[in-house]
Amino acid sequence: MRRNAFFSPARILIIASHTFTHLVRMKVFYFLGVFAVLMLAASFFEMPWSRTTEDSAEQELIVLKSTAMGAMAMFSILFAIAATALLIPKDLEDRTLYTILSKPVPRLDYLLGKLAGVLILVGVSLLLMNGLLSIILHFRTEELLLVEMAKAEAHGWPPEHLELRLAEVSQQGVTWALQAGVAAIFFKAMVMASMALLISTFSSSTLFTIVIAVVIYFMGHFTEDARNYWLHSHSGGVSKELKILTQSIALIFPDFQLYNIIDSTIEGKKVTEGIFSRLAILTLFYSGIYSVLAWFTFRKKEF
Amino acid sequence: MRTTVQIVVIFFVLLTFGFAKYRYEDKLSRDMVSLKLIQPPLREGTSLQLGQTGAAVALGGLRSLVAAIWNFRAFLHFEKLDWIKVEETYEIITTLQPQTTYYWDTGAWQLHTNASSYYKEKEDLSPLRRRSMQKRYLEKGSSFLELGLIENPDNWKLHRELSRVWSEFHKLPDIERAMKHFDGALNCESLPEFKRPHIQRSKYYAMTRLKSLQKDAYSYGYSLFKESPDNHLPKLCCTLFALQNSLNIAQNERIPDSELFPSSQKQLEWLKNYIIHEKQGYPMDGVRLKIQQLETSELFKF
Amino acid sequence: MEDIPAVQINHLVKEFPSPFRKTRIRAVDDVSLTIMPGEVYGLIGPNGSGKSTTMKALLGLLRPTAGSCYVFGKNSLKTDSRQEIGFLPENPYFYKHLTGEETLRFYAKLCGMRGKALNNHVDKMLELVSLQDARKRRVGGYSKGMLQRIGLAQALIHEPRLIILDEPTAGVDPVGSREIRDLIVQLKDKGVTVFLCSHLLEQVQEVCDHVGIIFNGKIVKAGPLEDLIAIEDQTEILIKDAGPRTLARIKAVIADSENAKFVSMGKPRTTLERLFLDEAKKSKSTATTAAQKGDDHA
Repeated sequence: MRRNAFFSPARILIIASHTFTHLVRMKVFYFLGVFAVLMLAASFFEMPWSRTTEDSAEQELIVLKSTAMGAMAMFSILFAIAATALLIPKDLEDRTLYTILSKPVPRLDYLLGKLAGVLILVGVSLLLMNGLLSIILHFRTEELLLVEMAKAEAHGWPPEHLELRLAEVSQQGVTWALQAGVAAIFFKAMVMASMALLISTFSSSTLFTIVIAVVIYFMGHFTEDARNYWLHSHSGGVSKELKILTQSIALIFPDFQLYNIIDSTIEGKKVTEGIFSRLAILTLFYSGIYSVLAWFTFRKKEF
Repeated sequence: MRTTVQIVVIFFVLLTFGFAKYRYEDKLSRDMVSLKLIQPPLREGTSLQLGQTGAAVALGGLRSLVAAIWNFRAFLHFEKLDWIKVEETYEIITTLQPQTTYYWDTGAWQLHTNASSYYKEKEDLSPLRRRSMQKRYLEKGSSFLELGLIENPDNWKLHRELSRVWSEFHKLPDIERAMKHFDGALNCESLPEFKRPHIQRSKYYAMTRLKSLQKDAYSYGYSLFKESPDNHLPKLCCTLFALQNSLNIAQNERIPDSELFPSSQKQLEWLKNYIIHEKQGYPMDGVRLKIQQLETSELFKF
Repeated sequence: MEDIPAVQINHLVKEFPSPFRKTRIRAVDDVSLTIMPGEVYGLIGPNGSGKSTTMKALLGLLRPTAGSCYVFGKNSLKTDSRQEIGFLPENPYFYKHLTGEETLRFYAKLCGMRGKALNNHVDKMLELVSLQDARKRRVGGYSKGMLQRIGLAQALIHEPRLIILDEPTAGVDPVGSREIRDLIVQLKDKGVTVFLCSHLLEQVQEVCDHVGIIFNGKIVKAGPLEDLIAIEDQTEILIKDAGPRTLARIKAVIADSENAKFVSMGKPRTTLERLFLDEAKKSKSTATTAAQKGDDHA
């Protein structure tokens, strides 16, 4: 470390764990308490039995999962944006930035350390929430499986029928596919955090950063439409301005619809390894580009 | 000046990166859609109905959550008997989650059963009006299921539901229409084998109710009977019995009563239960006579 | 090794864009200064004269518009140069959520310290600035004096060869101020180079051996302190226990000489500061004796 390499993972980790402690001591984890209560409430929810179809058991599990994952996704995104937007302006305002940058700390390490700290916090929170979800989901699934078996006894189903039902219900329980969904939530948060980092190197106002980041977040959900329109639309009477607009949107904004595999995992669908790794790679690229651009702005900044 | 230069550079880098990534994203996106991992973009107009919050959350990739909440709301509309709202809500729900059979099924049921029978029995309407509203909602329910089939072509459950809708005695049955869907279900690759016989039997029963199809019904029922002893159910046997009479099948080609029915006592029991369904259009040729004969012979046994 | 100056600033110019007018503000206008290792250099000037800007340029927090800065031969824009620097900013703030000990550990780790060496240093520093009692307390609850002290500790934690102090005694009470000044002298004895800026002139006079005066971004006077403030043509003699006859004789000697002229004679005065410190020391020893008496009685 004495040689002060341009980029030092050890130092990044020091700043990251420091950022993590900082955020934790801001009592961020109280949110998890709210989440836990929400989860427990959702687990007691029963479908309004206007209609008992064969699918009702799965629907109940899906509602449970979508409530939990919805809360997890909302928390992760909001936190990723807000925490990152807060960190650098706070350091600047409190002048703690001076004491850090006057040490032999390369600016890149400082930025990456802050980003890593936020992501570690998001990651840990997701793990805790996922753990709670898994426990509650597991118990509810077991209950529903017992109900199916009772039905089988009562109606005299053939064994294949029971097997099919058990498989269908289990598919909505705790599976690896669901974990892929949780990972996708984390990926989304990662992209948003790096983006917020980039914006915060420009703006010294936390509020401004948050607003811009949220706007970009929404725009990112139209990227797919813009791209489809640009690449695959065959309608002739398209104005040039519109074409350029859709092209620009498709190029500049990330395509957040790709992360909607979260929804599919909630429905119990499987995500192939190929798709998952491609999504992971794309996420890393986005985070990488935004971090590099953030460094590009930050390194010339004067205090 | 400095900041402007920086922004320009960043914009430029993002554009360059954009050119590098867009094809990758496009391919990934299309692969995901083909694997049904992500939904195709929302149909236009839906965002307007979702309300600001709903749209925001839906666009945030949490469509399943919004669908679940809207499902709950649909139930509340149902309790208030607000059929228009029920229909609207289910349209939204199925736009958000087009691959969830449950929503198509339940939405259609609300229309073809609940709404339809509501209007059928609404006393403050003229009989003509009642009938037309009943039919209208039946059609709505049916179209809804058909829309579901467009989104989910290989879905045997939706076909089965449609076949039930159009063969249900208490509704306005259209057996030919039901046939289409019986065959649809049977042709689905996703149909589990152990479900097949049940659907085959349902198809057969429906066919027997239409005079023009009775000949085909008989050959179909005959093959079902011969195929497996699991099919030797009361209703199947009784209908075969009646069809053999109504079609004047030659004696040597018929399935004898001793084979159709396990015993004459059982035959009497089954036929007596069967004749109750006369109003539903099932063939009843020779059933009454046979019942009389069996009852008399029973009498003489003692 | 000795030839490399601790600090070398060459024709430093720093301009800031003015928000309203097209013209730019020159905060630092062609400043050059050299500090050799082991010196204590004081940069004095009024508020807004460019002192802080010069320091920040030296720390790489600002880029010079023109000119260059070197620390022990390394360019200030390079991260490496800061390995040898310890910086105490004006009104320092530290992360409120950390304790005193955690703060020092954090900064030490940033400088590359590890393990046992780290722990030893942290203990040493806490002792040096007399904050052992408050080590487990969150910095958010520290008084101004304590903040200043922890600031010094983090500046010194990695044993730098150059210390930069921006208004080290501003807003600090006389006792604390005295302790800081004693510390600076200690550092000097150890061979550490000190670069401080202040507008408390008497204190600068006490500790610095080199001084630079800066006005409107320009160095107007610089050099060894003694040379600068010596009134060339006057001499001061301090005598103890001199009777009236001795004094009369001295006066006569002066009257006899060709050029020498008698200027003034009288009782030298103590400073208010010295008075305050003496009182502080007295009250502290009274309190200690009372406590001991109390212990003896108990």
